[in-house]
Amino acid sequence: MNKQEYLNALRDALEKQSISNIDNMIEYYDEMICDRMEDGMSEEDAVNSMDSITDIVHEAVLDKSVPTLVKEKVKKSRDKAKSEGKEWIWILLAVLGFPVWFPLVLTFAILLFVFFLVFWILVGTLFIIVLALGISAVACFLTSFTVLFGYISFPGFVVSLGGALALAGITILLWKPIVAFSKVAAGFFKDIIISIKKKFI
Amino acid sequence: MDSQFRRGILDACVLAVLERGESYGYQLVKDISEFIEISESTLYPILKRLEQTNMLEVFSQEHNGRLRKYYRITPTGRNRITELLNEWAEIVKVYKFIVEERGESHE
Repeated sequence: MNKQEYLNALRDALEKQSISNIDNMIEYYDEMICDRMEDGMSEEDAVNSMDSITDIVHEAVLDKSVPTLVKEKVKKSRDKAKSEGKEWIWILLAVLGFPVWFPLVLTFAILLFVFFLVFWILVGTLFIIVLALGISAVACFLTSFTVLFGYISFPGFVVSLGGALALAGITILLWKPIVAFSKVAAGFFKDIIISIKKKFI
Repeated sequence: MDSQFRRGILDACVLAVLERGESYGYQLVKDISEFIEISESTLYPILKRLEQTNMLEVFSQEHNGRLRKYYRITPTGRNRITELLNEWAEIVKVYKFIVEERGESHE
């Protein structure tokens, strides 16, 4: 297979999967082959040493969003039924099954949305708590200075300064675990999305 | 190796190579392959993601009568390397802890 044949086959395969930015990808793989040839490989060797078209398409499909993948999967099954002249089954099932599938899909979507929402609100709340502690620490620290102007007594000064230091300490102590927790949570959601994607490939 | 873990490592490798100076796709594959297995189809989404997150910038330059895409690290990309190194320091600590724990339990 020469370079042009490989790139044409790749373009066809990518188009079949409705991948976006195909031109950019073709440009990238074209450049890769040219660089290999400049490195001393023959055109055929350069093409043979490239990844298989199946692998490239697989990587590109994994890069798509979940709604796109679901839509494509449904379209594929519909088209298949259409080509076999069985599209009426789809329509019949969609209409008759509506009272069953619609509440199920809706519940699943709402559950998923609420799950994501609750999780991120929790992360947001933790950050707000740390922020509030930090601001309180600064406020206590500033209050302790008012002893200079006679607004508070000496014991008041000690309490304010002590409070400021304690609050600052708690803020610093909590900061790292909360950031780490958010990162782990973000990674966890990425994994969930990837596993959902794999169900539709 | 876990795919999420591997992806993080590859991101760091690409950024580390680019920190030495700007580079292009094939050279990146060659440089990184010395340490960890990587192919051009794995590199492409990484480059795209790093570009979208503003960690590297892309520009085209003429080379032997054709245009070649070059990648250059941005300040955000450099900060990311520092972040990754800090995360790694923590992982190494945990690794040492696990190895020591296992060593003791085997004794």
